[in-house]
Amino acid sequence: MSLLDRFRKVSAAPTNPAQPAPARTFDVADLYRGPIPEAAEAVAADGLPLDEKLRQAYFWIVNSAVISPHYDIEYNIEPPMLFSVGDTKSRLALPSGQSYSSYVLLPILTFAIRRKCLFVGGPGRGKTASAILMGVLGGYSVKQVRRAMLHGQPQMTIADLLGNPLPADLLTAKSTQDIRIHWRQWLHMRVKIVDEYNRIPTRTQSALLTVMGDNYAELLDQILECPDSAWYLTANDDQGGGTYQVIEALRDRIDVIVQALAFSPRFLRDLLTRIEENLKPEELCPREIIFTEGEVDRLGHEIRAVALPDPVRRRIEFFASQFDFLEVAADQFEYKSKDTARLAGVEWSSLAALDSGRDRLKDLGCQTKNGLSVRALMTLIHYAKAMAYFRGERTVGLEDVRQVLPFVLADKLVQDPEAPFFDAPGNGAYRMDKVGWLRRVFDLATAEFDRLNLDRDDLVGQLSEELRAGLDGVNEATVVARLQRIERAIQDLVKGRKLYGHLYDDLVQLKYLHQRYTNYLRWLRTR
Amino acid sequence: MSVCPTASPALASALRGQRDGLNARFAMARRRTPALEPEAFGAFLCDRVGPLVEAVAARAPENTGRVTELAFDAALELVGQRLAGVGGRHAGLEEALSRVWVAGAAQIAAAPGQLLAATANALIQLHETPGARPAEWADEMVRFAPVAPDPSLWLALGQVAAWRAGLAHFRESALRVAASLPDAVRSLAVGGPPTGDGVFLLARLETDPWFRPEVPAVSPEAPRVVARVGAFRGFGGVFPAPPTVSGGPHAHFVESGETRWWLHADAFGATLHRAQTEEHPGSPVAESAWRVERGVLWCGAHHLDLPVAGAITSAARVRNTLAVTCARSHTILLVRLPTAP
Repeated sequence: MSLLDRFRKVSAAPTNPAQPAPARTFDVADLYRGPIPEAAEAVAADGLPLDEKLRQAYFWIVNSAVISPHYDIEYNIEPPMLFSVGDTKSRLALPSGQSYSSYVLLPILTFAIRRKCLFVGGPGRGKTASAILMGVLGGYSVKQVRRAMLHGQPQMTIADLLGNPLPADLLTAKSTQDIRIHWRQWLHMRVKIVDEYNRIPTRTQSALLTVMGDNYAELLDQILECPDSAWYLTANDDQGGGTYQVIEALRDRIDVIVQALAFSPRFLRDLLTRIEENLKPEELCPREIIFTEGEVDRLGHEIRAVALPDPVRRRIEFFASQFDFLEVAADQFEYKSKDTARLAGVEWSSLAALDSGRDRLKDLGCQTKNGLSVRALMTLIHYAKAMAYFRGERTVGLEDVRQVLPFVLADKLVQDPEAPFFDAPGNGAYRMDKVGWLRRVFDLATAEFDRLNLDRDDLVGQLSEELRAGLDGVNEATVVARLQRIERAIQDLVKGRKLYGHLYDDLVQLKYLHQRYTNYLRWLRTR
Repeated sequence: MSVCPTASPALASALRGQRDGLNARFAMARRRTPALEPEAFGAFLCDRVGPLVEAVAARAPENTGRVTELAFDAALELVGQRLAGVGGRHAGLEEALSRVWVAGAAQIAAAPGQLLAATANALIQLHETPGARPAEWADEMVRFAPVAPDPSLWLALGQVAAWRAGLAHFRESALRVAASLPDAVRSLAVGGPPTGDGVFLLARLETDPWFRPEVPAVSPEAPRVVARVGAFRGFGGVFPAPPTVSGGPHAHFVESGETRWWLHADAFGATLHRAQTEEHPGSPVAESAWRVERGVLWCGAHHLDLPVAGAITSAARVRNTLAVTCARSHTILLVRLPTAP
């Protein structure tokens, strides 16, 4: 089948064949089904499951619109076939499960949960075209999307970004309240595209931050509340380069970063066809995969309802606890954080030299200069749920977390390239390959979790659950016994052991539990 | 693309407004379906889509562009797949479709994405079902259009009409659809007079598959031959050998050579559907209300000489329909028994 044949063809449902098809019966509703496809609004009325529609959108884009043969999100249902290639013994895996191209999948998940996605990569690699496709999926025409797209440029002013006051009102207004604003069209869109955002001047970036962060625009005391939107930003360089340095707060608002990988010359024939037939994929998007506003609302609701099981949550907790801890950053126990050192403006290299006594190769925390923010963790959970939902699952699996984690944390966890880990044989490439590095770190954290047998032997978890059950009716003797257990647990944890991030978090947790019980005991005794 | 030189003003205007996009779709469709000839497509646009667009422009001009775009897509499929147009597989489809589209222009303007495809698919299915009567269905849709301004109601009436136009396998679900219709249109839907008692007619239809509201009542006591179904494969039928029948829960199970079929039949038509490998009829039921002896059906005090050629090879009842086969014919004789069990 040629590329042209595939252009308007949506993958046949079910795209996830694990789900059994219903048995066929003679139903007069079948009268209206046949070779003539229905348009999008009618298909939606038929009640096609939204995860199926999302997969159809993905497969249409990846098969027909964006030439991306890079299946870097790998799922396996049985061990994959592995090959060792080249002098560096690079690993080439043939996944046994349905696998995906991150460059297409992450933007689609962003669309479904209305978050913010940054496309990075060299010029001419289809970053803007991919962003436009997301706008088309949102029900906008190509013209609408193009006209509403914000193009970053060095002369961009806040008025260019947000809008202008009406000139007549400027002359006649008695107060700023009387000045009406002509808001820019892009602010009203449910899919917002900012092209080359790192070419926007710093002052204008601050205004953009307000819209991105708080979802409203403000000009001359006038406020415009923007609709919930999926954001797509593009940049030739994600390291803050470009005409202007991107302010840190703006970078922090970006939820995932996907990289446009190199074009595979084997697909030159497809490019030739597009030229000869004057085909523009974004103008040929099948109606079946266009989402209404209500459908995107429902997508968000259904994705939030995907369950995150406790064992998976515990492993995310364990992974997250590795990074923020810095023993030499403070004397006060609670302040032993990399953030404390950062706020004090101490040079990182001098801190790293002080941080001795632990196995810096084994300690995952040594590989980063910072820890994970609450926003980053929430984003990770959100995308893990979206990933599971996209695959037709209703509970998040550990592999879902592992697959989305690098794209969420690529810009959030700042690597320390001087860490001993990167000098170890075979690890040098991780200084450049952040996706590979973050997956490796997650795998190492998971292996350590298994080694410590925390799935079965998690005393801190048990003590936390006891408190979570509530204190109503708990008598004094029980509280005293629990306090003693907490104290014994602390003694066991600190006995002859080095302090690592997960241990530090456990100790902080035990102190918290101890304090809650202490307060409760005091209240019981003074009642 | 300039394939429609004689387009009506509304159609020409709508085509001009979306020229680039529609041209790209045509180019792409032509690569996918080489049978899509510009001349045949242009003729279909002018002759079949044009009147629809004119009718929509007269009723809901704001929807003209959207209807044109979606009708254009439907036309690409119909002509490209040789379902309609010059050299199309189904003679009469495009004429019937055009009548339905023009009559239902108001409904189509309200829900073009659903109705354009639905009406075309229904007519294709009727054309592809041996014995079905697509022109009759189109007539009914034209008749229903003024009384069913709501697109969903119009489609529901169309479902019932399709059963009555020969799609007998839809009988059970079509009766359920009819029961859910508003009282004002129920009688009309099942073929009764507009002011008829829809509830009564529906009850009769449910108990007697051979009842037709528009036909004067026949004495229900005597058995009578109501239909002959099937033919030799060499003469355009489906049976490679004289068939035999047995009873199933809702339809007769037919075996002919190596092939097996389900036979659905009632007063409005009969359809045959190939049975899956794992499907089989239920266990035979002892019958006391009727018997067949030497070419004669005995049923209570009545008897009927069965017009069959050769020895009777099988007979089986489903509800009040008796199917009879014989050794020297590829046709199944259907007899209505006096009383429904």
